[in-house]
Amino acid sequence: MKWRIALLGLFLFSLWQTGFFDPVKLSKAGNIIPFLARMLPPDPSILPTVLSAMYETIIMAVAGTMIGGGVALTLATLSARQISPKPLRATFRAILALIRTIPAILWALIFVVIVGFGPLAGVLAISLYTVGYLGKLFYEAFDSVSGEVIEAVKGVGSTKLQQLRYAILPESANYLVSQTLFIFEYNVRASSIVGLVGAGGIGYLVIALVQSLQYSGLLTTILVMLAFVLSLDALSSKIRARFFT
Amino acid sequence: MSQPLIEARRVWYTYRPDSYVLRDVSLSIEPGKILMIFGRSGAGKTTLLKILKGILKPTRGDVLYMGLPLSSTEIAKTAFRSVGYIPQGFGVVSNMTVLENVLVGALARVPVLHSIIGSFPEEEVKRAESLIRQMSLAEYRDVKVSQLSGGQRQRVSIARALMQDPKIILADEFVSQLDPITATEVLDIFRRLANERGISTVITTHDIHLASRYSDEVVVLRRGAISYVGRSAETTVEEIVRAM
Repeated sequence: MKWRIALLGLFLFSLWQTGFFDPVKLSKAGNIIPFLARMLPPDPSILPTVLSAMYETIIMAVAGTMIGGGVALTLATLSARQISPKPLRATFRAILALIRTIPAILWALIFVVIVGFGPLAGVLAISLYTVGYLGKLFYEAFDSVSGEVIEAVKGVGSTKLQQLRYAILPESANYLVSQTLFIFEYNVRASSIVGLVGAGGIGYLVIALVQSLQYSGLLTTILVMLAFVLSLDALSSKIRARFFT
Repeated sequence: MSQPLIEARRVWYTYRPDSYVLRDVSLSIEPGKILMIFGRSGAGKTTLLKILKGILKPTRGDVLYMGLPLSSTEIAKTAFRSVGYIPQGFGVVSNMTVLENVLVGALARVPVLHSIIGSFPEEEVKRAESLIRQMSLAEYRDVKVSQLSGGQRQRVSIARALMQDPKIILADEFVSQLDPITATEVLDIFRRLANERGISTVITTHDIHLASRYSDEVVVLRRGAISYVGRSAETTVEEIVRAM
């Protein structure tokens, strides 16, 4: 009972601290109606621009996932219990943890400073973010491969590299592909967000539309993003169901 | 009496300092013989097999391979390649085809980079195909192992072990998971290998009735120590039960 009261108290406190009980701010909630009214109807004339930005977003996600996935696979191998000696794997696990602590949007800000505005900064940010997450998921998958299978392959006199190729990778392949598909879905969304700080893609268009008060164009953009994300989810689920269950 | 292929001399093994899994175990395996090691769960059968294979090093005592100690790195390397090992769950890679699994047995003979890209010499592929035929798996050559039955997976693991060109095969709990008919078929394969090619086999099991008929010698382990050694023809089921 005490815990429930404490939890409720914490919840109410967090609402109060973030302005939920501020009457001035609450009175502004009514702005949502005129805002939504200004979004309608969606502006079809902007569609070619939206599709072009969406294309850029997808390309960023594809490139980021592939570069990040490749690097993640290498770092995960060097972090795997079955392959790498303890000091080496501890070092690479720490590097992966460090990469994970910085969110994609912060990486995007860093790369915008380094390489300038545009999709290249976005791809680099997505790649690094992918390395952090897939790296961890991959080495955990490698660690969970049955010791018996590795023992059997090792027992023929194979090298560590051969054990990776003929035991660890094939045994965890389904999981690796499934997680890569998942991170690709995530990266499409992340590619939209990194655009907000100037790293290209549809996020870049969204911020431009908001700043120029083109809300009907914004609605068109949101609808295109929604349609794409839903289609991608459906396609990804089908692939997973077909190959990995 | 010919020289033993593998010999364990007064082997002790412990995972923790306070309790020994194996206690003063001595045994030897001669060419062309089938040795069955019986014992209840936890008797130390798997540990003994791993020590004979060279996966584990004895805490005390020695293991000799063709009269030479496994403590020497070079001998250990040779022995490691010449001793086929089939773990309890067969250790087959379910996401690879039957042919790929069998070719794993040739990895020590193939240059690493070639094997990484899956390029095996033609003679190795032919040899693997011949073994697949011998194990009556020809129609499953390109089928993923995940789609095979338990008995078929077991035959894949035998073919992989034979691909190593071993002098001896160590098989852990090999027949325990099979129905009696499949188990008989698998044991027939080992008998044929022993008679025709002089390949020795060590099989650990707790299935007394089926297995003792197929072996030449019997060893019983009780709580890590050998409690019975005898020739199969002169050993009764009751004697094994009493020793377990």
